[in-house]
Amino acid sequence: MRLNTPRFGEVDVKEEDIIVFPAGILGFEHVQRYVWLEHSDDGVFHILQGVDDPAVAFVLINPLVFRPDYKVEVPPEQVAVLELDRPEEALVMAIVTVPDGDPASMTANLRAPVLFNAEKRLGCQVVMPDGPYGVRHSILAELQAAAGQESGDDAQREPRTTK
Amino acid sequence: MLVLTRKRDESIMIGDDIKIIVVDVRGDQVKLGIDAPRHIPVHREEVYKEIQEENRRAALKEAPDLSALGRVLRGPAEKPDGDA
Repeated sequence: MRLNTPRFGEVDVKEEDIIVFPAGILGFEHVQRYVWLEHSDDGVFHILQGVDDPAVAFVLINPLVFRPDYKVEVPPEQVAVLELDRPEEALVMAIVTVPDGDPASMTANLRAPVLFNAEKRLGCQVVMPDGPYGVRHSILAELQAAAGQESGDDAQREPRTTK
Repeated sequence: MLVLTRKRDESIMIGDDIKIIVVDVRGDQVKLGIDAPRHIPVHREEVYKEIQEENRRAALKEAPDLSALGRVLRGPAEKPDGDA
């Protein structure tokens, strides 16, 4: 079907591309179907485009890109909706917030990542309990922190230390 | 708003599919068990609101300039000592 999206123009959507979020995304429960769009050349940012409501779209990023030690820890009930054989198989993405006209200040929600069962085309947003992650992590600051941990030795790469 | 009083181990049905059980009561803390279908998200209200608010901020209002975002990411990686 042709989806008329306000931000990406007309998008051709095949039934088999549709990802179902049985519980929707918090605050957007009226949208249960999404498609995954690739709009960046370097494959770092992805778009989750709403099908039920084309006005709804999010930017996603793989948290490991800027936070290599990122781990999702949630009770299995939160992931049950993905029908995974093993929870570790979930594809993990974080929703990115880009403040208007200030991409350098973009933040990622590491407290409530979006998980996918890529094979069954199912998705859900999980919420981690109080812990090391918040809803707004500055991607640039995290990248710089990770880079800073490598400085001081340009002869060989040292393993990334985790807190 | 419907207000019901329950004791430990008693429960409440919401529709046919949602059950709330008072698992434990200790001082001013109540431990609740929630039995709900997978497609119904269940969260502490303040957490729900915080995530909901952040999702709303994140929802795209205009077409994102993904190349600009990519440039921001590549910026700090391009260090003079050639770390790549």
